Amino acid sequence: MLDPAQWVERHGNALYRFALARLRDPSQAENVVQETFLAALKGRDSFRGASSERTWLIGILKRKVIDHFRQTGRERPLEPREGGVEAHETMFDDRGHWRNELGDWGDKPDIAVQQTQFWRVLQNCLDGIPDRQARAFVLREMDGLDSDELCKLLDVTETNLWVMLHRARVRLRRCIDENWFQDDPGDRDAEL
Amino acid sequence: MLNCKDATEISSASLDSTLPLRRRMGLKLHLLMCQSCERFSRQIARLRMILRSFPVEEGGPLDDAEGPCLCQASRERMEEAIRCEMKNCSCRDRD
Repeated sequence: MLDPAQWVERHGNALYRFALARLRDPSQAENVVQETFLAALKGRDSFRGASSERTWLIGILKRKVIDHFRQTGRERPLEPREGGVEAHETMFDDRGHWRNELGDWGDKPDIAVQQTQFWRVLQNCLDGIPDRQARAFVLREMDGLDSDELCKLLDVTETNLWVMLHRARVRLRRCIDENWFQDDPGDRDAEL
Repeated sequence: MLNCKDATEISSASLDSTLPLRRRMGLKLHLLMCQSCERFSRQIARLRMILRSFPVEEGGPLDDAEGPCLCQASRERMEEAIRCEMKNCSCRDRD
């Protein structure tokens, strides 16, 4: 059963966070959430109850996010290039070898997925990378959009996209490594 | 011979497209000899797996009390828009 009168209360913040992670702009995220609620209302007869109300709303939101990029992709001014040296440049020495060996992530099952704490770490890591990289990364790695689609949506060349994704992966991998996998497990258990 | 910087770039590219056989073989050879690159390669693939299983259900990370929130005014605006839509009235009349 759908209960539209409760949507904002029950799903408002969740949808907003989902949109914000992709659009990286609070007012745009808010607009997309409102559009989602209205589209959901109009299409509420199509809800069959096969999934939860939340999952159904997120499905509509995903399409609205993509529509948003389609409409604004070509108008959005490019963000300035970020200054400073990128992680993918400092990790290697002059001959292109790792400066520090990488640690093992172990064979622990991805129980982390269920833990809010893990997603908090991930969100902090995402907040630390430039918007364009983060946007491309989330749409590709979380939502599974394919490269061709993503190039059109973000109005970038394949090479551009590939560079953004690689840089984002390098940063995210290192950030998650430092703040989750190599973090003292004792501390983490205490927090959970 | 690939260095580690090249190898990480190829590992990353392999997540987005099918690479030519020669590149794949070159990468494979490097990963056999280099533990850090082998870890890098596995870890970015694992990260993708974790991210694709992001739980959206109620009570999950999207409902984290510490996450960013809609402000009260926005919530009220949305609630009003939903009420209007349900009553089928035109909100624009009152703007």
